[in-house]
Formats: sequence, structure tokens, C-alpha cells
Amino acid sequence: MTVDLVLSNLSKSYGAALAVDDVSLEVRKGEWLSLLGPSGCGKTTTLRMIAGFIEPSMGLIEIKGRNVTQIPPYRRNTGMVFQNFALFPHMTVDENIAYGLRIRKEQPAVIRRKVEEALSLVRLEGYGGRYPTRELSGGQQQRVALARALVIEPDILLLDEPLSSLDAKLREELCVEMSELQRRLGITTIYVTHDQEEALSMSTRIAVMSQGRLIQIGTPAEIYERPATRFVADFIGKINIVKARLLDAVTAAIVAEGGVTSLTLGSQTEVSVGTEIELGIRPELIEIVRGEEQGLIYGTVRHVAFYGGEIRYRVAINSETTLEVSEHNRRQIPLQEGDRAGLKVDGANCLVLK
Amino acid sequence: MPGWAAGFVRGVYIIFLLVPFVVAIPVSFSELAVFPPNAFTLKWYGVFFSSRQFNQGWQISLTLALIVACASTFVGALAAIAVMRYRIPGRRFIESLILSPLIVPEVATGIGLIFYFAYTGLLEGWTRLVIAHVIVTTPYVVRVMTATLYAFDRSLEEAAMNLGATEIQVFRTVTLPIVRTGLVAGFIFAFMASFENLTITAFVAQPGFGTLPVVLFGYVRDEFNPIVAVVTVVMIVGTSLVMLLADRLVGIDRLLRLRQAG
Repeated sequence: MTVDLVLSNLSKSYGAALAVDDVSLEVRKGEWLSLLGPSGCGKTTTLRMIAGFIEPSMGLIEIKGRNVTQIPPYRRNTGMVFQNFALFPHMTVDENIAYGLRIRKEQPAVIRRKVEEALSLVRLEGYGGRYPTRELSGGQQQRVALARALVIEPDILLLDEPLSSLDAKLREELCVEMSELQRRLGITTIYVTHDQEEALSMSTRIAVMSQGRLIQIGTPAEIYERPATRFVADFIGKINIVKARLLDAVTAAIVAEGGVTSLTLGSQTEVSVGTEIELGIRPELIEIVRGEEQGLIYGTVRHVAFYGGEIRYRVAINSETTLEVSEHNRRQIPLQEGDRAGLKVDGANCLVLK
Repeated sequence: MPGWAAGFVRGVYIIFLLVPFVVAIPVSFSELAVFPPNAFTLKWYGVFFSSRQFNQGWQISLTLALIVACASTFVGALAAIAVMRYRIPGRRFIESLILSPLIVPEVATGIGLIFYFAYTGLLEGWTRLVIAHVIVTTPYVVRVMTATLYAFDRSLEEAAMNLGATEIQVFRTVTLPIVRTGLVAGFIFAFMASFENLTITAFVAQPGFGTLPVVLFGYVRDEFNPIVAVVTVVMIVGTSLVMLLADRLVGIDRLLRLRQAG
């Protein structure tokens, strides 16, 4: 498998502050890698270093086997879509898309053909003569920006939160559209986002960053199901964090309303027996049992939220812990606030958080 | 406000703005300096264009305003770039300093300059006049250009660079076309400010450098006849031509929007 992008020991410091701290990763050809993290985690700085707008303090950047660390942005052959799209307001859609080709001194006939192709790629045929910033909607502008970045046939596509300025419904549509297009073209893509749902649904792999560091890199399923740290578990998706005591290497005990419930964990833990640990449990992996059963965790329903396809409950199991539980709506009798709820948790699905 | 009242206010406002034109244009064709005009004659236009003093006046004014507008657009644009794009120590102070001629009474600036020139013996003739004018016209350019650059989205330059354009290509194809409106607006404001300036010129101009406003001012002290109106018409036509030119270049509505922003 060819590697299209290599970052090795990449760092960027501003004075004493480290914006990016020793990040190393490889991106394979055709992959969609999302850089995910809260604002200020260094994801945008990393992307801007790849594009060449920020010079790294240390480390190397290789694109298609070529060391580009010292190469100016205009000779890196990356295609970038900016957060605000950065469409040239004094040019039409056609001129915007043709810009990179004109700079490359392509033949006018070639430019015309490629611009047409790019327009149809993003389903904007017939919009070529408009002025994008005045005459197009946000979603259309985003597609023009995408076409402009793709038409130069870049080695890597760089996307800097290109959906963050759009409303939720449109964002979802464009998400699907973009990832379809990316798969069809097979173009290696780096996507910066703080939206974990977007990252989960679109990526081949996700790199989770926090405070300038790369915390974990893996497929969406790996990141979601086996988060490396408490930060990752908490940042990606919803998770309940419950205090428990380790009875032996594979058994943890949770104190709840009805007494102590012991869970058999999926794997051995390295911490010593008797210590207090934190367990992470995803809301969808907690089952509400109507009726009595052995080994349930009991609590009181504090809040019920109806979402149509699912119902979310907040269940207090002791004075300091409230669990979020989501249940598919299969027309079962919903619980009411104040009801006693029996929760079934499979110990194998619990994450021991570090 | 009800519709008719708004219309009334608007009407009064427009009449108020138009009165000088309504008076000056007919009077310039009059025999005597009275309104309404007592005759229709081109006599005073003849006098104006055969007067050595006035001819020299408008030629000096026009030449001066063109040189000053070019110079202050250049200087002002660079100053605005320096203040807006670089973290120069004391940049707020520098900006205030450049803009101060807008606040300081022109008389004070004029007196200051005359003392300065007399004391140092520096700068004679054209240079002195140009420098003095550039000092008072540059603030207009700086105001317009800082507003333009403030609104300028720098990611546009990054986008161009990402698409393969070198710094020079980016400047030529993206930066310049977008800030052009601001440059033209700054040029026009500077031109107008110089063309109609009386105070500063009266203080610093040496003999033989009487601009049109200075010549006119000297003239009306001794005589009062329709030539005053002729000068007014000449100035209106002159400034209108500049505005028309600007409209051709960038569109007047965009200029006005910039002026508000500035």
C-alpha cells in the first residue's frame, strides 16, 4: 500500500506554547483521515503545516515520498477547502475553478473541459457564470470550493472544517456527498473537524488530538469501541463514566441503589486488586429490563427524552452517578420519571478507563 | 415617520444639496452678480479663460491634485498595509499620528508648516506644496485602505497560493483586484481634498503658486462679479469628471459604501 503523506515528529511552538507536539503519522493512498479534537488541540495548525502556510518548528512532512518541509505552499500540489471557502469574490464560478489551471498555464481548451468536468462532478452545471459570494448559497459555495481544489488534481485534498458554517441538515447531505465523491476519485484526504459524528461517519481512520498531541489513531470503530484514554472515550460519542472497585483481575463491583453488582470484564486489567477504577459504558450498550432478573443494576429514572427512533433516559444509580441509557423505540412501554429501572450491563462491553 | 414626512425631509435635503448648483450655474452666465441672472452671456467665461491668473490657478490646482493624489495613495496604502498586516510596536500610535491632520484644525497645521519651512529653509516651490498637501490628504487614503484591508479575507491569498500562485501572482491576481476599489476611492478623496484646499495652500504656497481656490479667494476680496460663479462651475465640472472616471473604474456605489465603512 503506498503511503501518500508522512508526518514525522512534527512540532510547532509559539514561544513557550506548543501548538503541535511531536505528531507522527502515515496516511495511505485513498484514505480519508480525520484530524479530530476540541478547538485549540492543534488539528488546524497541523493541516496548515501540511499545506505549507505554517512552518514547522521541528519534524518532517513528506507528500508522495517527497520531503516538502521547506517547500512553499504553491509548489506542494495540495488542494485545500477553507473553512469559509475563500472563493475569489471578483471572479465567477468558472474563473474560480479555472484559477489553478490558469496559473499552471494549461491550454484554454483543456481548462474549459476540466472546468466543465469539475462543475458536473459537484453537480453545479450551469452555474459557471455566477459570482459565488453574491449569487450562491452556502452549500453551493462549498461545492465550488471543492471543485476548485479538485480540478488541479492535487496529491492530497485538505479540508479545514468545510461544513462548519452550514446548517445541520445541509451538513449531513454534504457529508454523504463529499465522502462518496472522495471514494469515487480515490483521493487521499485530510479532514479537520471538531465534530465527532462527522469524523466517525466519513473517515477511513481518525486521528484524535488533544493539547497538540496525537492521542490515538485508528478506524472509527476502533476509536469508538476501544478508546485509548478517558479523553478519547469521552470526546468520541456519548459515554457514562462509573466508579467501580476491582474485586479480582476480571471482576469489578458497582455500588447502586439495590446493592452491589459485580461485572465480569472482557479482559484482565493491569491495576491491582482493590483499587477504585473508572468504567466507561456507552448508552446504547445498557439494556433496560422490564421485570426481575439476576445481576441487574437498579436506579431511578430522572429524565425521559423522546427522540422518535430512540428514547433516552437518565437513570440515577447512586447519589453521585446518573447513567444515560438509550433504547430503540420498538413500541415497548416507556418508563416514566420516578420509575425504578433495572439495567443490564455486559461487563465485556465496559471500558476500563485510564 | 409617515411616508409623506419622510418624503418631505428627503426633498428638503436634496434641495439643500442642490442650491449651490442652482445658483452658481445660472449666475455664471449672468451679466451682473445677481440671482436670478439678468442676462445670458459667456462674457465671464471669456474673462476667466483669458485671465493669466485664473488659467495658471486651475492648471496648478489640477497638476498639484494629480501629483498629491498619486503620492498620498502610494504612501497611504503602504502605511495602511504596515499598520494592518504587521505587528509593529506602537502601531496604534503611528496610525493616530497619520490620521491626526483630520482632527487638528488646518489653520494649526498650516501655521506649523510655515514655521517649519521658514525655520529649516527646506523645500521650495512645488515640493513644499506637494508635501504640505500630502500631509493633509494621506489620512483619507489611510482611512479607506485600513477599512478595505480590515474587510480583506487573507484566506483568499492562501487559497490562491494553495492553487499554485507565487506571492507576486497572488498580489496581481487576487490582492490588487480586490483592494482596487479602496485604492481608487482613496485616490479620489485625496484628489478632491487637494483640489479644493484653501487653508494649507494659503499658508505655505510661495508667490507664483496660487492654486485656483487661493486665486479666487484673493480675487473676491477686491471684486465681486459672476467670475466667482464661473470658478465654481469649473470646480464642479472638474470634480464631477473625476467622479465619473471613478464610476467607470469601479462603480460609484462601491465607493460610497467604502466611505461609510471608513
